[in-house]
Formats: sequence, structure tokens, C-alpha cells
Amino acid sequence: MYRTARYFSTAAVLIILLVLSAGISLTLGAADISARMVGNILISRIIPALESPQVRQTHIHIIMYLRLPRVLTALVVGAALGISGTVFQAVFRNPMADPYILGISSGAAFGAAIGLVTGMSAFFSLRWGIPLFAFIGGIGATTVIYLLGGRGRSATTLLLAGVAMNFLLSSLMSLMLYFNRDSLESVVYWNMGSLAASGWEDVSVMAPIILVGGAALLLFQRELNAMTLGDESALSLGVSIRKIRIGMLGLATVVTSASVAVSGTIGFVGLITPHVMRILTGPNHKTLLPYSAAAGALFLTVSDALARSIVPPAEIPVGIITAIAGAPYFLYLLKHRFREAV
Amino acid sequence: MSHPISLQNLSWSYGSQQVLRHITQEIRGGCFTSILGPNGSGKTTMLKLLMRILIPDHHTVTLDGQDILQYPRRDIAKRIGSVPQSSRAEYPYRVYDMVLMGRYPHKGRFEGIAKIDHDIVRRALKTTEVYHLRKHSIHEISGGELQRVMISRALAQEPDILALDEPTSHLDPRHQLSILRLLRTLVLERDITVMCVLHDLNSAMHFSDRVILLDQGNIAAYGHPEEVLTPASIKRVYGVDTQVRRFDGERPHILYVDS
Repeated sequence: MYRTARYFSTAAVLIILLVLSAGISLTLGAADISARMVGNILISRIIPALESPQVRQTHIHIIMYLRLPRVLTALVVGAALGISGTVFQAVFRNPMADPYILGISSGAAFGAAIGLVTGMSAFFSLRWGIPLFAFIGGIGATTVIYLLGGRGRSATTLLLAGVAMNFLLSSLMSLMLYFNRDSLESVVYWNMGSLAASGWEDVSVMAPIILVGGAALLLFQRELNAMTLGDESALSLGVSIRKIRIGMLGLATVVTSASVAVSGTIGFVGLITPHVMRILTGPNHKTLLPYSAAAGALFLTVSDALARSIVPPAEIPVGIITAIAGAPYFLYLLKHRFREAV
Repeated sequence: MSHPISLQNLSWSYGSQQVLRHITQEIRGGCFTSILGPNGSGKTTMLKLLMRILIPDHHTVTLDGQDILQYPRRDIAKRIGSVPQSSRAEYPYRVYDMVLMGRYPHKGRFEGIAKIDHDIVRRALKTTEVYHLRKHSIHEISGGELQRVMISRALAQEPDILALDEPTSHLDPRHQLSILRLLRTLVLERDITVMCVLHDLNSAMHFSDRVILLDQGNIAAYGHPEEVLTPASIKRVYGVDTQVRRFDGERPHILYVDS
């Protein structure tokens, strides 16, 4: 009973915070639009009769075509990172795994950059081309990480494989930029992680991928639980670990890549949220997956709100904010784990 | 007497190192069979092959007369419950959730946990006397308690065979005894077949019905513990001198002697 109460209160707090932060985020920006006005604009989209006479057309445009898709992107990308972080931590049995640290986000960003620079992504419809190339890059990185550090090797090996992957991809990225200086801006933007350019186009492509991928992952919560106990336990419980592991990594990579395709590489969301949620509601993936999704969405929405309001009218790439919050936490975990291990 | 598991010419190598050599052996149903042998003699490997955690060659391990390679993984889990050597879990699951994982092989992908599953889990927790710990995290309980939770999880799979790898190592004498007694009870009262890797010769002597003594990947002896665990065979396999002492009405005790 005690547990159930805790689940509900955590869920309630998360939902309230999500609505609040999304709402506040909609009022932030260069144009001064009050919270009341924002509310009126949103409601009058559904019931036009309620539209206040003071609402200006430009404000409607700003809310509906600039801020709303951006806030939705932050929510969906954050959820995607929270879920995929949780899955990577389970499959690799390593609480320090995360798509950014393992270099999987960089792989997806590199794939997207190649698609963009070579113009190959234009072969497909533009909306699907970039996510497709991001996925190819992401799956490449995941495969290498899995082969190098994923199979029963130590936690350190896995993290080092991620470090090497990030180094490699960052130099390849620099090389590519060296030869294609004109695409510098869009590629750098991917590397830093930003939600600045997100519009309805992005949301409409990415949200379905992430929702379907996330729902599919949720169907495997029992296998994820079993796999955190180690191969031998999982096998003896009847889990076909090879198939499941490949499937889970594939799905988590799809979800990660879809988020990278719109927002670039945003770090540490996938690391921190499963951690905090594990402390609050326990390690059972039945609850951990949806809670991490919600917490990731919250983390990224708040970070994006900060990114837009710290130095107005300029904005900081949101990846910088999440890294400033997340990297010290990573170091803290590192210290803790090594104290345990030695 | 049934033989649910039989091994036919079973071999295994890790790379160039051969660990098991052409083992042929039947495991008696409803018996407590101990697997003994020095370090590196192939005990754990044999146990892992028996439940297809390592993949044996075709037709070398059979479960109820059928090649174990032909069973779906879940069906093996419904027959054989396992307590692995190291059960340290990375994440702090609750005892109850841990044991509930034993219901995995019985549940379809879209099937929820039903009342019967909770009943089975509660019964397993009570059998192993850890019901009072069900709300604790597995990081908060002692080694002996964790071992009972692991047996509990295996029982929740409703198996007719239990495979345990050194379930009593790292435990104090009181917990060692209570685990072995529990296994003995499961054999007697529920007709469960127990296969158990042990290090302690006296534990094997006192609790098992049959003993497999492994030596460098071969079966050095098989049979009733009193027949197998003689000073001669212990000297041959372990290279230590022993005396066997018998007290009234008990099975013999093995004493190590300095030579």
C-alpha cells in the first residue's frame, strides 16, 4: 500500500510539474506574451468563440508555430532520452550507461550530418531522410559499443568504449567540417544540442516514432528486469537474452536517433532521470520506464526554458545546460562506484 | 525410478581447455544429487550445460528423453529452477518483485500478473521462510537471506528440478545447515529433483542421495555418498588424507588428517 501511495504521489507531482513547466515555457521568449494571453490563445484554438479581442495575430503565430512545437519537442525528446537511458542501463547492466556517454547520440548526429552534407538524405522525403541517416549512424555506434564493451565485460570497459567512440566521431565530424565549411552551422548545432529550430514538421515525424518505440519497450519490462540480474539468471528464468538484447538495443537506438534528428546530441538526460526515478520509485522497469520518460520530459523542458531565458534575447544551446547539470552528477556516480569496487 | 535428465557423451571446452570429457550420466528423479570435485573439475560447467545456460552439442543432454536443444527457453525454465553462484544484483529490487520474476516463463507478453501468481509467490516466500522480508530491498538483507530469496524465485517457476551452484558458500554454519535442510525437505515433500554443486564433503555426505564426484572433467565416481566418499577416492581426487568416522545411527563424518 505504501508503495502504491508513493507511485501515485510521484506521478501526480511529475504531471503537475510537467504542466507547470510547459506552461511557463510558453510564456518565455522575446515577445512579451502574458500567461493569461497564452492560455487564451491555446483555449481559443479549440473554442474560437472564447478568443479575447486583445489577442494579436502575431502572438497567435508565435505561440502556435514557434513556442508550442518547441515545448512539445522538448517534452518528447526528453521522454525519449529518459526511456532510452533506462533501457541502456538495463541491457548493459551499468547504471552509468546513457546514449550520450556511450557515443550513440554522436553516432546518430554523425549519420545525420553525413546525410545532410552529402545531400543523400534528399533522396528521401526531407522529413524522413535525416531521421533515417541518424538511425543508421546510431545503430552503427550501438553495434560497435555492444561488440566492444557490452557482453559481460566490466563497467569500465563499456565506459571507455563510449569515450573512444565519442573521440572518434568528434574527429570524423571535424574532418567533415574541414571539407564542408558551408554546412558548419547546421552540423555544429547538432553537436551542441538545441531545440531552437524545432517546428511542427519535426514533431509530427518524431513523436510517432518515439511513442511507438517507447510503448514497444514498455512491453518488455519483465525481460529488462530479468536482464539486470545478469545473463545467467535471465537465461534460467527463460529469457532468450540474445534476441531480446538485440531487440531492446535496436529499439532504444531508434528512439535515441529520432530525438537526435531533431535536437542534436543532448547529454545526461538519459543518465540522470533513471537514477533519480530508481531512488524515488524503485528499480522495477514496469514503473521505471514511464517515470523516467516523464522525468526526462520535465528535465529537458526546464533546461530549455533556462536556455532561452538566462541571457535574453540570445539563447544557449540546451545541451550545454543539461551537461552543466549532468556532468557533475556523472562524476559523483563515478566516485561512488569506484569506492564500492575497490 | 525416473531419470528426468541424462547426459550422453557430454564434453565441453573453453577455447583449447577441455573442461568436461565425454560424460555419460543419468540424474535420478526425486533425489538430492550433489556434484563434487576440486576447483576446475567442471562442476559449474556441468550444471550450466544441464540447463542450457551453456549450449551443449546435439543429443548430449536430454530432458525427459528429448534433446534439450529442442525445448523453447521458457519451457526449460518451467522445468528447471536455478540458483546461480553469484546473485549480486546491480539494482535494489524488492524481495517480492525479485521472486515475482520467477513467474516470467509462465506469462505471455500481454498477460498481466494474476492472483494465482501472487499466491504462488507468497507460498514460495513462506516455504523458504523469507515472507517477512518481502518488502525489503535485496541490498538490505544478509547473504543467507538472499540465498533463500533466490531459492524462492526458483520455486516460483514451479519447477520439478532445482539446480544450485554452491548455495552454501559464504554462509555461516547455521545458514548452511538451514539451506541444506530446506533442499532436503523439498526433495522429500515435493518430490523435487535437486542437483547441487557443493564444496563441503560432509554436507554432501549428510544431505544427498547420490553424489557425482568429478575429477578433471571426468566422473571419478557416482553413487550413494557412503560408497563414493571413501578415504581412497578422496585421496585420489583431492589429494588429501581423510578418516571416516561413524557415530551412532548417523551417516559417516569425514575428518581431514595431517600427513
